[in-house]
Amino acid sequence: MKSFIKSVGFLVALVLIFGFLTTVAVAEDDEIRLGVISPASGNYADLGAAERRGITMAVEEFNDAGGVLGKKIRMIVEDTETNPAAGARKAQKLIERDKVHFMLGAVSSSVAIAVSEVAQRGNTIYFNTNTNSDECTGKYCHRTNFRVGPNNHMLVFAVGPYIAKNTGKNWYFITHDYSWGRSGTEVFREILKKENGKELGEALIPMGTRDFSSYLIKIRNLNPKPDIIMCTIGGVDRSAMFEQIRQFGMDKDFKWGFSLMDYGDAYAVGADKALGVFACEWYHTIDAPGVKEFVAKYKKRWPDAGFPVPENNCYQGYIGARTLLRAVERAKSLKTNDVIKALEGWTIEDNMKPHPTYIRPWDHQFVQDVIIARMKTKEELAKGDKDDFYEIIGFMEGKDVVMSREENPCKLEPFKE
Amino acid sequence: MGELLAQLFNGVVLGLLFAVMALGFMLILSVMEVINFSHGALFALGAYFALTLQRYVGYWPALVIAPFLVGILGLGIERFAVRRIYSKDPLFGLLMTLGLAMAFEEMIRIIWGKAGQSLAPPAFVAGPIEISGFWYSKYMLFLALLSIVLLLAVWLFLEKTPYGSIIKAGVSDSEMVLALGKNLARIRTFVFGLGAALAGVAGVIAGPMWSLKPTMGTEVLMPSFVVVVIGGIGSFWGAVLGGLIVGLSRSLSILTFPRMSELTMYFIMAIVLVLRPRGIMGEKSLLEQ
Repeated sequence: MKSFIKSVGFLVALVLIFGFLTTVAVAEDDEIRLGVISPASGNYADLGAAERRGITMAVEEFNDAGGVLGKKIRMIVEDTETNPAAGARKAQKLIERDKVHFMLGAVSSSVAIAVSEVAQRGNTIYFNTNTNSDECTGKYCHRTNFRVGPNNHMLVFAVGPYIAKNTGKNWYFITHDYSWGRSGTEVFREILKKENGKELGEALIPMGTRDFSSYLIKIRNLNPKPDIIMCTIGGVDRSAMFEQIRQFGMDKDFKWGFSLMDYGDAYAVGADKALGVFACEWYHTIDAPGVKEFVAKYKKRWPDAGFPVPENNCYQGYIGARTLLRAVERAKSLKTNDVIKALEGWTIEDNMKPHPTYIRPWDHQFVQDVIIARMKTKEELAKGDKDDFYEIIGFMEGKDVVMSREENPCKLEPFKE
Repeated sequence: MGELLAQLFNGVVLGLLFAVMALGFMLILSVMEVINFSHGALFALGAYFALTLQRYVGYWPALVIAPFLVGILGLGIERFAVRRIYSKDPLFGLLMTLGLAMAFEEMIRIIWGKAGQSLAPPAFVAGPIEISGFWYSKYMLFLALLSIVLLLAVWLFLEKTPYGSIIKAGVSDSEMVLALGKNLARIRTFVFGLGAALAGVAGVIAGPMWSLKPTMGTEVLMPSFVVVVIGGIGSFWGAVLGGLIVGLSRSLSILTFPRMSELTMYFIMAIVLVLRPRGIMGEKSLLEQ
């Protein structure tokens, strides 16, 4: 036992020394250090990999053109493990040890909230990509925190009224039991109230649930039967749910709606098993300038990637990193406050969507178009491209679905000196 | 009432699967006194082997070959790694198998990729079945049936064959088996292989339902452990009973108080540990020493 403790002690010492050496090695300032903080393990590992592909593409574009302000950009990647505590620890490490200039990435809202706290304390700009919980630019908004994707309010206010009008107003909720899931169902409820609809219950699904049989049996036995089951659930948990919905025959007898669809979740389980009507952030067949070129570039850069086309997470990683680096160029400075001022109130014209994206200065939400779409049927899939399995129903302009200043509890901190 | 019956039934089906998952874990723990942390990874490997095999040989051969391969891997693990730590502190066994689990998980990432994948169930059990208003998944019925067959086969092997008797003797007192002139080393290797194969087969049959991802093993390790603690180490029926208790506790807590669904089994485990540390049907327990 003693020798065991000794060897563990030796290992720890080794790790510490190694860590110290690498810290010394990074203290150069002829480069821009971009901390990429996103999941490589846990429920959102696949989506994290997708957003890192987008971030990498943007960074390579700038580096190939000679860098930003004459400096090359270096990415330092950390895994959040889809876990807020781990995320906060890694953020601390990026800021204090690696001395990153900016941080980017997230996927999980709970992780983003934890990381943004650390970023605000360290006065480091943090772009949280691919989160959707309203809290990230609401209750927990920060001066240094920017959210690249649409929030739940925008997504659900796009798809919710459409479903209420076309499918029915008796809803049952499936909620992923953490910040994003709860926030999604919250907004669905708000819409249901406005539409004078009826809530028939809610299933709270813990993160990491593999088995949905008992939940599905519960829904099957609901009386009255819901017109539609409105879900805010994501990641591999959602893939497993798709699998079991089919096995329990609940695809034919029930209708399914999603506050948000991630292309990757549907791709993992197979397009013929995924289903439902949903909101989404971006899609690779949108008719907008730059989309075709972006798709071609992606296919060339990532021939063996997990997903055959750039999807919503990759898009946001790309737009996020590009916007951040452009802001540095505009500000002609790496100072946090200068770059924030360059970002606040800025409009991104070439955003590969029908209407431009606007960065709201008072909550740092990227206000942008939201897509309403549905999963193609088996017959439709058989006819066309197998990687193209959304049928786009329409677009909602960001300004029509975004939360107003009165509705949002966000109050940004003053600039730090 | 209809829903209660459906949930009870579903609890039993899940329980049977949990029992298969835990049985191999229990056998290894009983004979070798090693808490095999790589059990979950072997479960995942079973599913991934089947995913690849299915493309070439179809479902039924994959169902047999995949667990067989995992079993061979288990033999190798025992022969070249775990064997070295029997006489050492139990901590070594924990660390070694945990290390193996991580290595296997990473191997899965490298070979099959990080993204989730789908293992197709055979066509004849795809979709639902309805019997007078009671809807259920055909695949889960099939899974229950397979689990029963497997459990029965293992039971017959342990009870009715001479080799099974030796293993049972090894479960209750491995040194005595050695003293009686049996080749304990070979028995241990075989039991590890058998335990691994059981983990693999559980992975193959759970795969089409839960979908595949590299970390799927970690998620079943805890339930397996809980099943064995509740049911008791060294008892075949303990593993079955423990499995059923965990399965039913899940489905019934989803019926009554869904937020507790992940927690209930731990509460039950805590109660069992307080009242009967060796588990409900356990014959001996590491926890009592």
